[in-house]
Amino acid sequence: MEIGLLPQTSEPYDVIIIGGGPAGATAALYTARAGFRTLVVDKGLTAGALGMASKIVNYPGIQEPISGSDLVRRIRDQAASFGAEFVTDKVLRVSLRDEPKQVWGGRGVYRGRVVVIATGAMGRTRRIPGEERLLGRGVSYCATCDGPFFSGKEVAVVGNNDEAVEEALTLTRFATRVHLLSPTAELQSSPELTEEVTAHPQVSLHLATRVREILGEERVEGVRIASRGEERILPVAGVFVYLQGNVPVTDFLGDQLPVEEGGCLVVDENFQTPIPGVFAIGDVLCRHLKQAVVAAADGVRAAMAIDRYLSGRGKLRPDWS
Amino acid sequence: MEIKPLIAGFEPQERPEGGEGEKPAVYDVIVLGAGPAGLTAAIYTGRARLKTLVIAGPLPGGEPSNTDLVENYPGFPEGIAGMDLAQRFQSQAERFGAEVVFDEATAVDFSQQPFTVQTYSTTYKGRTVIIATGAEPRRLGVPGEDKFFGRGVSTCATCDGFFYKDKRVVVVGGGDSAIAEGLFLTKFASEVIVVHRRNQLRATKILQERAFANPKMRFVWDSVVEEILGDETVTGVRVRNVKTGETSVIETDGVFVYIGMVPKTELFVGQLELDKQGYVVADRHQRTNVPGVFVAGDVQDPNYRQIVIAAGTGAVAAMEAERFLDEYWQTPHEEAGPS
Repeated sequence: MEIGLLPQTSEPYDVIIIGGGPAGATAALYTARAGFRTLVVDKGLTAGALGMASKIVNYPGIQEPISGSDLVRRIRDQAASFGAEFVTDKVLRVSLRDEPKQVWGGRGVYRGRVVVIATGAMGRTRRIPGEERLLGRGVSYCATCDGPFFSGKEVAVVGNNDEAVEEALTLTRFATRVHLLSPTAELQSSPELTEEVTAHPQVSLHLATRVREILGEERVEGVRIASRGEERILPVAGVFVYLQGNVPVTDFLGDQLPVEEGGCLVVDENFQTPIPGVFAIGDVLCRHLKQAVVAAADGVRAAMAIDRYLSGRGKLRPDWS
Repeated sequence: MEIKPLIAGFEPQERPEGGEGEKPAVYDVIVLGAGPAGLTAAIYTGRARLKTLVIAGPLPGGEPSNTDLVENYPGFPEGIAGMDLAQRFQSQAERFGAEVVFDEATAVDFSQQPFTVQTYSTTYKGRTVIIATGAEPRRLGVPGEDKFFGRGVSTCATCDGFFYKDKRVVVVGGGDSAIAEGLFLTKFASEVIVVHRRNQLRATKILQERAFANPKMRFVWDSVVEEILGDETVTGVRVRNVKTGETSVIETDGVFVYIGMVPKTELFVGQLELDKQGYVVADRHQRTNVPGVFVAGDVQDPNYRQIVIAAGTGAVAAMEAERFLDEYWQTPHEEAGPS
């Protein structure tokens, strides 16, 4: 079910879903089962809030304790069994008013008639001083995209989750040294990844370390870091930031969609945004409780509205009318 | 990073199974209906340590227990038998301390606290009520239907399909249910004739494709059933073409009716706001017009009728009930607080 780089000339997908948590994967299950060519673009199984949860006992129908990533995997497998495709990629930019709509990831461009935003609410509110100013001039969010620019140089990766660790490992292919700066005293990544990155000869692990500032005039020249009350400057040519917070992840949208207070996307009763054919579900909306079953229900409602949108049917009507 | 508890007052420990002692005089939550919506609500309120009673009503397990194989409930990649899924919902609710009784509500009083629910056997009192009574299949309302209901006329292919081995059946309707159940019936019947009042199906594409590809399925378009015929057993249906007005008889051994649902809300007439089709009117927090009374599942949903959506609304209703109780106990009352 994992696919590689897509040729630019391939037929557009009917539905592209950004984010493969309970909302996105359930939407994929329904759209794929309804016969629509469906692609889910996702950063990885443990990238979202559910994927990080270690034990869930209140997902209806599954009372045996299950990890969040196992639950997500089960829903994805189910979607894949109906033909949904999954690609591990990070979406950097979208063009939602184009027909077909375009989604740029680190590994390629994906095109679809419908786009569903299901990116969750683990985005950051605050930037590191210097981050915005030096974005594209040494600051990056995508190792696959920008790693080759740092061949033979030293870089810093800021974060402690699976994504941060995977990106750090990717960067070892290019950089001479990768400084992994974890705000916590322990990495939050999976045991396998933690072991791999800890043992990697090109990675220097800095635990309980915060980045105070990204330094540089024209380009990144270093980071000012603080650990146990002591500050120092680490000279690096690149900084890759993978910190998480608790606001909706919408940065890749630019200003194409309106957001309400709290950074949430605005949708109608069918989960459609003001741009026709663009839907948003799950925690990226502020209006519901952050529970897997509720997010999954959003996915189904949106999928049924997408069915009507793509088949040119009008408003939702009961089965028998 | 630390994941904060998602519900106020939500304890990470599980409640010990069973052995909770005497039945309370007043429940925190009374859930009416034991389908996916009601039992999910009970999973959440039970886990939040609210004293929860589920009055199962006439169809414990709800709609899924009428479904052969559920393949679109998220989390079961191989699909799951409807009965199994219903059983899982129930045991999960009971594990978190909810009490499930196989009784049926006969009257309710939402005019004062605590609310009263009368059943065939007794009377229960509750601070909050979550209505999850579901919806039942709409009947045709034509001559012969009552006479043969349960012995030739059915609304449940899973229950009765087996009786039509190598026989001919008529399915009335053109939506997802009609087509999915019609396809299921092809496992038994020699021929499945779909009578639909329009000239095209409303069912989703995948079901339509399967139905049109199935050699046992035949379609009679633009037609409605006017009468179910037979002396001792069903022998046929009289149908009328709505475009030409012509009537004809289709020979059949059984009739399966899938023309929509009717919400089970008779008990609430005059006490809750209902829409003109009889569905309970709810806001997006699953609140009804009576504070403390919440609603979830098909009884408030004429459109979706999907298990996971019912479950999702059950979770929302449960959390709103919990919020209501928090506020209720924070304001002074004449009686004693909860023990």
